[in-house]
Amino acid sequence: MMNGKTTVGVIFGSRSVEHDVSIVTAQQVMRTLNPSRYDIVPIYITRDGRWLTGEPLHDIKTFQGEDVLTVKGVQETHLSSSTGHKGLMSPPLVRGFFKRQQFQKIDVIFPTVHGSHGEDGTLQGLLEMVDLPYVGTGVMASAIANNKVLTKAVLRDAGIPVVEAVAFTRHEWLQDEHRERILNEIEAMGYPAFVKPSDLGSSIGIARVDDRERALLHIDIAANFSRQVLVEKAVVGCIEINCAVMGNHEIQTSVLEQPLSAEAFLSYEEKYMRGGEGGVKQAGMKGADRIIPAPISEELTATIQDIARRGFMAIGGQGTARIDFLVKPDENEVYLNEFNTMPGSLAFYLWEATGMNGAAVCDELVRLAKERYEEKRRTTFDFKNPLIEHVARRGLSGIKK
Amino acid sequence: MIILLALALVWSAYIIWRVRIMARLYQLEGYQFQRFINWLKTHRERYASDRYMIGFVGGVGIAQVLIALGVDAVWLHFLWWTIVGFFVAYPEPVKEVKKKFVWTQRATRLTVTAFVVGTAINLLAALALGLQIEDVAAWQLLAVSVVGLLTFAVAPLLLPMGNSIMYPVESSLRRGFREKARRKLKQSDVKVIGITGSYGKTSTKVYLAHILSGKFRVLATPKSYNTLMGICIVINNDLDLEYGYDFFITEMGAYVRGEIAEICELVKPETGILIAIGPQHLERFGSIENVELAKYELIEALPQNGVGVFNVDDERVKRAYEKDYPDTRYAVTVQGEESPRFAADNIQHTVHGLKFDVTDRATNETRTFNTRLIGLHNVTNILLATATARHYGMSLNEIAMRVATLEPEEHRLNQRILPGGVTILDDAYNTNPIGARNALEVLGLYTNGRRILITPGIVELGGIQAAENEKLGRQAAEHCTDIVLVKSRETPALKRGVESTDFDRKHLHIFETTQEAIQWYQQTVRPGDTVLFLNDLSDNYL
Repeated sequence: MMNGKTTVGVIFGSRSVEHDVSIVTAQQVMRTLNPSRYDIVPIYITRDGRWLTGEPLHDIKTFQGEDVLTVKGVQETHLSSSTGHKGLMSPPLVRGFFKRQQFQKIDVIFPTVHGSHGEDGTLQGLLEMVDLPYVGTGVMASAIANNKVLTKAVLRDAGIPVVEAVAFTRHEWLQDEHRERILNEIEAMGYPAFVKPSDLGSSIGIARVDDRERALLHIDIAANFSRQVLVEKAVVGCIEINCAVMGNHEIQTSVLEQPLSAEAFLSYEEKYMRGGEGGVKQAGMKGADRIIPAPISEELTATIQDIARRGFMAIGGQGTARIDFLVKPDENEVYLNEFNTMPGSLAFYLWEATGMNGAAVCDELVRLAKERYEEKRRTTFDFKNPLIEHVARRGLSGIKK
Repeated sequence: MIILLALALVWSAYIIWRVRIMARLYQLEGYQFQRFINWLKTHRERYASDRYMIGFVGGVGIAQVLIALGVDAVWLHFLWWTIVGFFVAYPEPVKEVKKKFVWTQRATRLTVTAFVVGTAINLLAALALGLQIEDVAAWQLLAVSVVGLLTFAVAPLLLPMGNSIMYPVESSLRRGFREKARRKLKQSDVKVIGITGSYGKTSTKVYLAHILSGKFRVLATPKSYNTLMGICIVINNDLDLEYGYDFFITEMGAYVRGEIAEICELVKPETGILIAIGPQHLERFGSIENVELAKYELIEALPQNGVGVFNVDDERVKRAYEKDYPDTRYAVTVQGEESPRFAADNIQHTVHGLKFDVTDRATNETRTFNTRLIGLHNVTNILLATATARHYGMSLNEIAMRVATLEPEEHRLNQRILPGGVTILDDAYNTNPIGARNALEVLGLYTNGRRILITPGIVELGGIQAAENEKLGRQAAEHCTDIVLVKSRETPALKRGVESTDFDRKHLHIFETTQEAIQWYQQTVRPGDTVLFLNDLSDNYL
């Protein structure tokens, strides 16, 4: 914390189908973080999992070329896994007399990775080992939120309404006898339905199917993207409502939005490519059409916000998330559909509508990260007992495990 | 003396410039002397246009007249050859640039050698002339210019000469490179799968790699790397021994007999896939029988316990299958043949893609395959890949799952819908009659708006080129609403084909240049129309 500033390491990219979206989110976050309070260290994980750092990573143009590593000023690095370091080690790739390993201390990590190897608890696990504070949900909540099958199980147990679905593994799908059973179960549940890879955050592999034939095709596709697939009954006549939440213990909720799209869901292209030539701003979620606040009654709004809060607590969430609901306003039916623990552009637009600008959201997220970290330090991990002394005296053979 | 050398250098500059231009064509012809000579013979206008001849030879003549009239010879020669020469030699706009010149190490070596030889001839001539006398006489300037002119005229031949000079260097470099690849392949335990055929090689390779990647670690040669050296480059650079690849898939191309055998001798394939034997590159092979023998080299190179995969819908491939070698052979059919092990039927072709049932007759399993790919030939390509993947232990279900996510290759009957609502079928790399017919059939499926074909025709078919283009014209008339021919050697044959049908001639558009075709395109094409670019790059149009 030199010169009173907090050094924030923004991690993005990674081995995920949402790699590119993550680059955009990271650029937004790095621009939004208040430069008088934070020193920013960009940390880019390539598609094949190499860690890079360097000034050019602040510029989106760096990512237009084929190989970012060849850009001048970018170097390979790694986050030391030893708790004694708490920072980036950048060893020289070519040995030389004047080349020294560089070290960059980090105070807080701000992950902006979407999907696998980042949003799913894996990166969070690494950060726990490193013992650094980090923004967003922890290992467990990230892992649960990233698995649609598990999310449903946890929510159902907490008494929160979820949409009916048939879930199965790729392994089952590939066996003829199971495949028939699965297709029959889906038929019994009824069409139309949505096929979804269980652990992808984006819309890739998601498709609406109206009959057995289309189900077969789209499950074949979805099974490429996840080892678990679920087929969810379509809630006919529903609208989509999203709500963002933030907090560790006292969870605050944002105003609600109703995303608009011609289809019943946003396809990948629609979600991220719409708005054409625009720069960073338009490339993210901001380009999509939406109504804020969502045009539903105050009671329903309050109900949804309450469910959002409870749902986030149920999965053990701390930090932030955007929660997507399927709602039939006239019937007062509300289903919690999914969590995005690292939503595109961090749902800045929702907080802005709630009266909190992007910089304030980032401040709060960093504060929450530090708060959670302090709380973790109150948990006891080290408990001294006389075992070693005992063994040293008696020898190993005397020990029963 | 200095003046003579300087003049010689002016000439050298022209020669270097010319060598550089010809180098692209020499590279395109695979650095082969005979092919390059054939090209030179048939394309005189491209390297010895009348403009050059009149400009330069006339130039020498006029220079002499002017000197005789008393104009200062030194200045005249310089002025003439630097200014006038520049305008004469100024490059014409080249009409087709499909493949750029690539400064590979070899290309650099032989081009530089040609530069050096060309420059040396001129400088030596100037030196030899200048050594005799102190004062520079007009006849010496003339002599230097004549030497320059002659060297300029034969400049294209400097390239093969450079190649011959560098031959010992090249062959030892190549040998080293090849042996390195051989050693590396031996160290790894990859199984090598070879693919050959007159067409469909790249597609089949890409599909097979995608399917096998569902279960294995696969390295495939990128793009159309299909020559011995190309394959060696991939092995040397990309075959990471640490990564533990299970398969190395390579396509094998040939222009003459023996090339595939040579590749096989290096990579030692365990499995060979034979797609089709057609009249591609007939110009270079001489006869279809030679093509057949050349493609069969892949099967001959397999070990007795290797695996052959054959598309028996092709009668020549079927003959290869019936030669009963190697022990394990799989036949595939999309035409309902009775005996093959793998068959595709109920093939449905929509604008969304292909849907068909694949049956493994040995296990009596049937599975529905869906893919975004279009074009019937792709069913065959997928089926060949399926047979291979099945051999290596993937189930039909696993294969179907991978097939569902196959992506079309760029420029290979790739369909995309432009934001304005025009559908583009990009088949720019298509150069064979069967592929062309497939593409036209696909075009015929789009019934919303007009169906427009833009093509310069298909080439490199030897003696049957005209007949095939005529046939193409007839097929186009059957499937298109509008036919746009960009002027080429094949235009008359195509035109004959179209006009032999009752196709409305108002919808047959023939343009002298790509420019005019582009103009027509931009004024005419409307949302809802579908445009097929056959053997023509669409980039210029859109």
